[in-house]
Amino acid sequence: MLPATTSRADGALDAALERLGGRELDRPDTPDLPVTAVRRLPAVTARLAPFPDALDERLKQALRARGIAELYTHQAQVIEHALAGRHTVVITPTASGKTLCYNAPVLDAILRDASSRALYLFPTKALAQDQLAELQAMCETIASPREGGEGPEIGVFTYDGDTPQDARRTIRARAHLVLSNPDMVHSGILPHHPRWAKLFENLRYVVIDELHAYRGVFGSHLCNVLRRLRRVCRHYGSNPVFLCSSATIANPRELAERLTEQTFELVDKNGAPRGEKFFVFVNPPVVNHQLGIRRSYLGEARRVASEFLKRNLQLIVFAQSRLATEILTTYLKDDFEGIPGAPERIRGYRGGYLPLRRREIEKGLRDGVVRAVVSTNALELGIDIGALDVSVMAGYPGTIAATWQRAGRAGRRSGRSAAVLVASSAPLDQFVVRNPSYFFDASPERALIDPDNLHILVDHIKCATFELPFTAGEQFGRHDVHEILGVLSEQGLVHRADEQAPWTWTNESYPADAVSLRSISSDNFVVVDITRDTRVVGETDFTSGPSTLHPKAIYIIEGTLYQVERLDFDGRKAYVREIDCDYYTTAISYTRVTPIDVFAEGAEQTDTVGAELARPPLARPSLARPAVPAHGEVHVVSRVVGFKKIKFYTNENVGSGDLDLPEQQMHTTSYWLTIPPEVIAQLPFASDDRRDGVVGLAFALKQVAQLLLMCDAHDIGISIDSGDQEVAAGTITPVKIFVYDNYPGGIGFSAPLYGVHDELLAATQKLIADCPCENGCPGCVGPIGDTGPFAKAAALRILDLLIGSEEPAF
Amino acid sequence: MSTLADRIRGIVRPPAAGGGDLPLLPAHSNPTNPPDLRDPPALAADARAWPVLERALGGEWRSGCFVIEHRRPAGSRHGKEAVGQVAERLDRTAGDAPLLTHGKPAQPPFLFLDLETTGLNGGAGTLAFLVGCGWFDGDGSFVTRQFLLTRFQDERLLLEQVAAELAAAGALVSFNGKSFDAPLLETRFLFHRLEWIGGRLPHVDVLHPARRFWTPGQVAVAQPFRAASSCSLQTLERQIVGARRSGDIPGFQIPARYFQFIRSGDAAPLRAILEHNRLDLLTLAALTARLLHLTRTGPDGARDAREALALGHIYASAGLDDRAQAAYRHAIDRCRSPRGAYDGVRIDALRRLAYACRRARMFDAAAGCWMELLEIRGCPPLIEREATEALAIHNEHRRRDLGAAKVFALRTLESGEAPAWKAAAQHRIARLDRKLTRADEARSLQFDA
Repeated sequence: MLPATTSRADGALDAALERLGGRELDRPDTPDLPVTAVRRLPAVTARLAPFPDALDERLKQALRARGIAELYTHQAQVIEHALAGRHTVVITPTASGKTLCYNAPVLDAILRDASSRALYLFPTKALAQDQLAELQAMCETIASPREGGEGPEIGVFTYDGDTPQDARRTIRARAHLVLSNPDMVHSGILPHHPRWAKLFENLRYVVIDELHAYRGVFGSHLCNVLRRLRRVCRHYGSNPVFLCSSATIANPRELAERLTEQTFELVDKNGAPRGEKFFVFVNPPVVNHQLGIRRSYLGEARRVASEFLKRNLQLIVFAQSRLATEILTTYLKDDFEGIPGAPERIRGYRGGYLPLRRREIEKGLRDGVVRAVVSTNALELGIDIGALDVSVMAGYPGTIAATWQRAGRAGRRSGRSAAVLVASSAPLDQFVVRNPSYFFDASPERALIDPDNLHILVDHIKCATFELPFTAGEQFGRHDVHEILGVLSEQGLVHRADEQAPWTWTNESYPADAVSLRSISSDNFVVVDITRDTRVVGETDFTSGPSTLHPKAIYIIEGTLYQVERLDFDGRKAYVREIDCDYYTTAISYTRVTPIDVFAEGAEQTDTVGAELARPPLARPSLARPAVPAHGEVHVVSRVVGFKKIKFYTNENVGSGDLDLPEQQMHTTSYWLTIPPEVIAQLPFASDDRRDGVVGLAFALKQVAQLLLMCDAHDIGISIDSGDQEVAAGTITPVKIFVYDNYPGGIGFSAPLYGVHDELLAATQKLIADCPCENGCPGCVGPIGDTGPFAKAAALRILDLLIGSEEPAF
Repeated sequence: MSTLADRIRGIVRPPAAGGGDLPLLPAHSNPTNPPDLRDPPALAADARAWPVLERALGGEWRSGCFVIEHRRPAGSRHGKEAVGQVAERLDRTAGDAPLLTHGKPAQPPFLFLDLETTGLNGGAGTLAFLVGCGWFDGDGSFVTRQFLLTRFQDERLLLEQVAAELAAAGALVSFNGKSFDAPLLETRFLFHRLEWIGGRLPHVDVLHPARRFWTPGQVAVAQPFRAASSCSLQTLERQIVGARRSGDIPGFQIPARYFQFIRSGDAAPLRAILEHNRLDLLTLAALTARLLHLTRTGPDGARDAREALALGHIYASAGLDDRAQAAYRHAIDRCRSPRGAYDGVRIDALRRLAYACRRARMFDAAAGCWMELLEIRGCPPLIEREATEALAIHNEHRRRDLGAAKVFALRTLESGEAPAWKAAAQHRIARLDRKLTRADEARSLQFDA
């Protein structure tokens, strides 16, 4: 039974939930029903703490003037750590008052000593803008005598790529607080540090907001940017305290410590109150059992959203792509938009909208004029849109952390809220929706970085030398920086007079210009639209260029479809023209992976990513584990050989073509799994079906690896090596399945994946075995058209044999 | 498994930019060097005790910094004139220097400044490896003092000496120094936490007036959107000063050659850079003298309409409105093209004269200029809009000829597509229509009465 309703909104929410079938609490999970799970998260009351005594009186006054008489316990803890000069990371669910955690110590420092400076880093420009308004209001209260403030003028400015040139000098001179992003610090601030001498001399705090955003390539770059930042601070004699806030991830302290290379305090007990929340998992019903096709998840999301909208509840709908955002916005507008000319009640929101329009939508949400917003992950991060009643996710956001964050967009401090996840037919979605306890009971993902990836490291060593000469004893990262500088000197980029002399930059270039923090190599393909006149509409990193920009590929930006007419491989340009069509393309590529160096091999387990799924090591039957996992350095050669045309919505294959494109090569790191010949030999299938089984297994393995690694689909690649081609037919050779880091040099996924080998296989088995399709579908081993009729059965059989603990199915 | 160094070699590609024609030489191995100029072990020990530099470049060590001093006698020629003549002219016209500094009290002694740098991008890793300073001595000779950075560690010592040099100056004179040399030096001073005293000195940047006077095609009719065109010191040296250089090092090769010196210790290739820098300084001095001479003499001394127009700009920006108007009139009179023909100089002069007249409340004269602009065939739309708009205002508010005002306002509407213009013009037309209706009503009332 639901608890007694407390308000009209609560009643409406209950009614909507009941209509969706999610009224029944304490029900067991039902993987095969449209509503697979309902969870109730009880309300939590606030835990409060007084202002720390050490806090400046003027700041306390200003806070009181703004209606803050007491702090939540986590805020008080962070402030105390900060005032004591300890680096601190705080875990902050949405609407828990995280900004005060770092604004209070920063403003306190400035009030005590007007020369103090602070640097705030946000992963996006929009977030910096959002914080600017709040900080400026706070500073006005402090400065204005009318509101009881008596403090000094505090300069708060954003400094990013949009900052006009003529404003930059003023900002450098007047800003106490600089709100920026890592890219700007990397290319606009650090290389010009003498002009920022005032900031660096007096830098008391570095605030890193949305810490969890810095994983993979971006995080590895940020770590190096921070290494450079700390070098420059040392030059000017400052030693800032780092204050970080993160969404719930498994390893916030580890991530903060790896990124900054400092020891951190962790504050993870949240003191903010939270209203009761319902979490519902919805799986669109199967409409074609044979092909495993479900009803469209967008349509299902529309139906779910309608139930809430009908009852006048305010909601946010998260879509997985810009295209899906536009489609859902259109659906909901059709259903609910009032008379033309009235204020718009349904709005879309995504990257690519102009800032002014975004501000208007955010305000509309806070005021309640906008009743529903359909957004990409653009609103997942901390933009202030007030608290809504319901969050509907059309598609699994990809990680547990992101899902909680999106769910957190609904939820007031009191009163009831709901979050609904509508699963798509993608394997990851299906796994999560059918295994609710994986989501609800497991710890969220770990954020992984590899700042000592040589490609990344070398780029930043160049930038660092440009900024300050490297002295003889100086270190930078895990590798020997002087050996690296030695190689750079062979290229004429740096020089030192003798062993004791510092390394100096001896090149005309400005190295930061050649390094993008969002990718590994600065090499990229530019997309040129030639529909009307010639204009650049996008870019793609070099690695994924051939697979997304091959001739005849359909390239999509902001809902507009373009077809690639010509790919100038050497000039790194793709010429595209707008097109109206009902399909998109996926590239068929041939990839061959060759191990170069094995870092570890065998059953040794070194890591504990989401250890909940892994069985205890002792319970593992030792003899029956013939699969050999390994990880190491590999050479990847890939070539795009063709493409398929896939119809929108139905995902039918409607055509294909051959391509002749140059090979791409890279060195990276990889996890791989060797299936011994004995296992292959035991399979009761013909050799073609055996092969299909391996292909299907690799397909499913990749999905699960993505889930375990908290990474995006393009972060990792798979490849199958079915043994030496020269071997005579009939001989069975071992088969290797590679899951490699899809970045030159690797980005730190392989070792952790090796560490959770057992979990990887167990979860893959569960994904395939639990899938209700008959012979394979996009939700498990891949669409049946791509694999053979026995792919699912063969893949399962291989897994049974590899894991060794299951009864044979035959 | 490959070594770290090998793996990095696979990652680092040779730099595509820079280098110029000169191959980069590996450290400490330059087989083409005459043996007497090479002494790497001595460099390694202490560059300051390095006698080869003195032999190669003819300078000396002063407080840890290598300084090359050079004197060009008054009697030697630089282009059309002797050095002493330039000195004498500069001396005579120095009082006009504030005209080129927006009124800041620029006064002798002038310090001519020119840097040679390790790159053009700025930032903490771009160094001024050669700071060239020049001035005229009492006897009319031109003295240069060049501070050469022989190793990074000595930069602070170098900057301290440069600061002492600047402290003695009454004004800095440079070519593009406001945008390049001064900010770059400022960055170096900030890097070493030294006070940058250059910011306190009046700074004459010769580039901008020189561009107005002498760069062909620079009289831009769409002034606000004027693109920077090349106006290099070397071009002006040939065309205005009349000097020729032989064996000069192209500017783009300079950083690479300096890096080569840093790596090999061979100072000989630096000689050409030092000479290049000295010539730049002297040409800068000659151009400055020529500019000040022109501003002193006024439009009568101008060689053509373009120079007269440029003088107008200089007077106007110094707040000398009467002299500016006279110079613009002079420029219009000197235009060789007939009235009504397309002529960039005439268009610019008329337009500026119109604004100058309006500031001086000479409204009819201003209207005359705008009318003349509209007569020009192929008058650029931007200017046509300005002219019609100004004339609409003039007729509406000064002459109170609403009909004429409306004619011009309608023409504004035709002259361009920019929404802001359109809105403004439509607004004006609506107001004029209201006024016209009221006038009609008033008239008909009078009539009825």
